[in-house]
Amino acid sequence: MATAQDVVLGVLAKDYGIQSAAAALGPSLAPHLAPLVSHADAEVRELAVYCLDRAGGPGAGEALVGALGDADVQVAAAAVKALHHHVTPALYGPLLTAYDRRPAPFVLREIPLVIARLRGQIPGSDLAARAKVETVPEAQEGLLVARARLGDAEAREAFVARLQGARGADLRRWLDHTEYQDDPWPAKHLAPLLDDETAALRVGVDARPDLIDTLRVCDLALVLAVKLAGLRPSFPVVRAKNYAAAERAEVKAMLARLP
Amino acid sequence: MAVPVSIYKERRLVLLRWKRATTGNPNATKPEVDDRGFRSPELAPIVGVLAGKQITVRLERVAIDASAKLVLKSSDVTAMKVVSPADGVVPNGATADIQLEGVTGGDPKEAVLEVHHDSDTGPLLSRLVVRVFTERRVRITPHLVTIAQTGGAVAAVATTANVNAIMDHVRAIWAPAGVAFTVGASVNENLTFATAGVVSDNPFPGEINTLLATNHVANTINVYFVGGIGTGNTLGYGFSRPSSVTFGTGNPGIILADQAGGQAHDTPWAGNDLAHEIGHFLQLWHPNNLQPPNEREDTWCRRMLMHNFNTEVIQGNWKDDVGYGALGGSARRGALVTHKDIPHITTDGEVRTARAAVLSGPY
Repeated sequence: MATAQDVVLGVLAKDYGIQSAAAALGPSLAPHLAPLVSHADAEVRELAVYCLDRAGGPGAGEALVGALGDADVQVAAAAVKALHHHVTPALYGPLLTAYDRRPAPFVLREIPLVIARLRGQIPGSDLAARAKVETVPEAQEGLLVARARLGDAEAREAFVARLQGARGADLRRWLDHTEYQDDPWPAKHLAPLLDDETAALRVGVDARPDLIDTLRVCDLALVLAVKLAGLRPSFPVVRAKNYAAAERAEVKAMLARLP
Repeated sequence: MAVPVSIYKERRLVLLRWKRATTGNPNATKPEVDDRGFRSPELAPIVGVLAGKQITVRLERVAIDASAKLVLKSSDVTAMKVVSPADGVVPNGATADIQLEGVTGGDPKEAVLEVHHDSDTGPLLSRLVVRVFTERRVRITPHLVTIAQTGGAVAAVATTANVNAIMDHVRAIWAPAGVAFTVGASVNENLTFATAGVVSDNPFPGEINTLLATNHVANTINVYFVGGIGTGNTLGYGFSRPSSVTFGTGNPGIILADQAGGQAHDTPWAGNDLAHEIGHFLQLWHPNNLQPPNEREDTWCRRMLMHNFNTEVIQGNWKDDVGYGALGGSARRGALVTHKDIPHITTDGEVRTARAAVLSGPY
């Protein structure tokens, strides 16, 4: 069994295989890894963030918040993605402070999303206040999606407009935002997307033409609507499928009956 | 010397052209120039360079005297500077290799290399957009797989892949996009499958899931080098994260075979194939998301790394030469990762897509 010292040495040696040992050691590892988050080498800092993510615990969350302002955007991005797994009410204030320090746009977008994972445990007013003055598009998007998750009616209305108006890679991201809501409320608003047969996600494997190659907007929307609303259509719902018009029509009818 | 030109009503004159400064294998210091089309917003070809690195591009005189005085000027020396010729005066001759340096990068930081006639305030004859990138790091974990046969009747077969040589090609292809690879220590894997040296893929997933579950290292692209795949006609598989989730392979990963179709591949082929699969991991699609038999066959797309086929049978016409030579009677695929975002190529703007994917991972 690896020790905390082994993990620290592994991180310093940029041995990505050490992440499994970090996961095995768990939250006790955080104090040992926290100093590495400010190491001079960006790749060491990035691997330390990954190990903190795998180790978890309150100490990991604090160290990850500290990495949000990292000068290397990949380190900061890794930290904010990890915080999705480790956010606690104790981090609410530090996360707002980190947001106000104006990190990179990607991080600005993600911090509100991390915060809104605390739905039911935090007020919505702090995010709403920031939304009124925010000018960075990525941050505006993050605040809107987060406020929608927290139940802000105005934000939900704007969310639906953005979801239904998005195209291409933007639409795929808004579908991710919809899944992030983790609530039935946006399900019925996916109905118009069930008619959209444009390609949305390549899942194919070169040299395997027998496997499905592309999931369309309507396929992703159908799976998402069924999941969020807890629908039980007459056909099996799986990810690896291009759904027929009749199947989409059935789900659309079910969505129309939602309150 | 006068250059005769026939003009009826109006004609756009291309006096100078920017090109890749080499042919054959990709070279990180002599990157592809994305010269597809002449349209806004760039109205110029584009080349990419990592901050702190130097590259060479070739300037060709198309319709201007070989001794006409041409002077180079960077629009922003805080982003890009001309290293050679040091005085900025282009040497006489049909072509000249120009050395540039990315000074400070961004996502990207952009400068324009201008070519003026006679002096750096003379008439502007040509422009090259230079995008200077900060580095995006991608970590690779190579697994060198030895496969024994169940029952042990046949000797185990190990991959013969030369990871370092293959990765040199991958690095050369991706450097102009500002994507850099660090390669972890090779992990030696010993597995026992139905056939020595072979991972079966039929009926799908065959032994693929077992392979991809072997010592998977998170937050890296796991590449499994094996002797062969299935019945031997497949060079490689790439199960990106969306593919892996969709088809239930447990982990994403790339499988690269030493041989397919009974023939061993040379390093450039394997390097180009791995770079292509990495492109899929970074959310790139085949041009216009068209699949065989409907894939695009124009030279723009055959020059792209993300074209469907590694090689194409030589037709004996203008389509054959995309600048990367041939292997065994087949023209090699190119290595261009596109900078431009041309509207009718729905999958274009690949550099931007890939760099965003590195940031938003996990891939």
